[in-house]
Amino acid sequence: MKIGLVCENEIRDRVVGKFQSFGIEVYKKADVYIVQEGLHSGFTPCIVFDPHRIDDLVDLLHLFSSTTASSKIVGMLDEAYYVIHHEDILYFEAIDASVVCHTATEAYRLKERLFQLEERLPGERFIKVSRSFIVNIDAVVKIIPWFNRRLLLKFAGSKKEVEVSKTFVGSFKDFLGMR
Amino acid sequence: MRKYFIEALVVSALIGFLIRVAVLLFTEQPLWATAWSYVGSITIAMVSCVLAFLIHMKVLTSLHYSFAMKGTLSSLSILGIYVLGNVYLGGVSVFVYASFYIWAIVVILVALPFLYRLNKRIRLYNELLLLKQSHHGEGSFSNKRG
Repeated sequence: MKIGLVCENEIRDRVVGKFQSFGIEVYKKADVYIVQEGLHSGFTPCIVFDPHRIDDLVDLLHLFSSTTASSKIVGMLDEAYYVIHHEDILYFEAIDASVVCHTATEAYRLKERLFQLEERLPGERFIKVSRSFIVNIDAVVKIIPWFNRRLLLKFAGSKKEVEVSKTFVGSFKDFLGMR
Repeated sequence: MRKYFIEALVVSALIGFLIRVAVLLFTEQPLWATAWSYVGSITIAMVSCVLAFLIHMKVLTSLHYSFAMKGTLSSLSILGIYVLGNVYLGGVSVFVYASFYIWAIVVILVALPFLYRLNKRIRLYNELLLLKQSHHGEGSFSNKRG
């Protein structure tokens, strides 16, 4: 089950931190939304919480921690299947009709299409940066401005790099909180 | 990175060519009388590109150097390219003219605000990146960065 969060920006980081301490990922498109009191209009089904009593929300999160969407992906390499944790993933790349999941050392072929991954992956960690790439923001070590309003992303422990296309630079800046 | 380096090199060759065309038009010389001059312009442009690429990738985008260091190294590179271009166009006699030094100072003074702005943007991107990663807690790549 996917959990979504709707709240004011002032408390968002704190609440997301609580979610992630339970291993719960937050999704933009979710099955159930946890919504701050006063903002629940239009989000059903939802669980409404009081922003002054976030500790009560934590008790509720215990119930969800074993039933929420997985933080793992299954990929194929040399005719064998491997379980890949989200934290090991650098980025996903769409090549022809398939998707490749890149870690620091390997590249695994996936069955899913990029748009399916985009819906499935937690929106706080993974961001689409071009038509063919979804990037794990935790794996990025440097952002380099480039010609024609593009950005280059460099990754930890790898020489691989991904370009943020000019079409997606705006949404990437929003994701970082730049505007 | 090779792909981006080649892209920058191609663009610089084109810019070198266009600068040559502009100079010939400005000095009212025929465009195709001195074909070898194009080779010189393109070569200078491509050498400048290699230097600029190295400076951009290794110095300007580094989070370890201060702006003073970045400004100094970039200014020295710009001056190097400026001297190279002037010597190519005017020979070593350019060094006796006061205007050579005045224009050098003008070029640096014009370049520094752009460098400052670029540095500010790079720092902002990377600070926001660190902030975003710090919200994701233990076990993320932010804790594995060497």
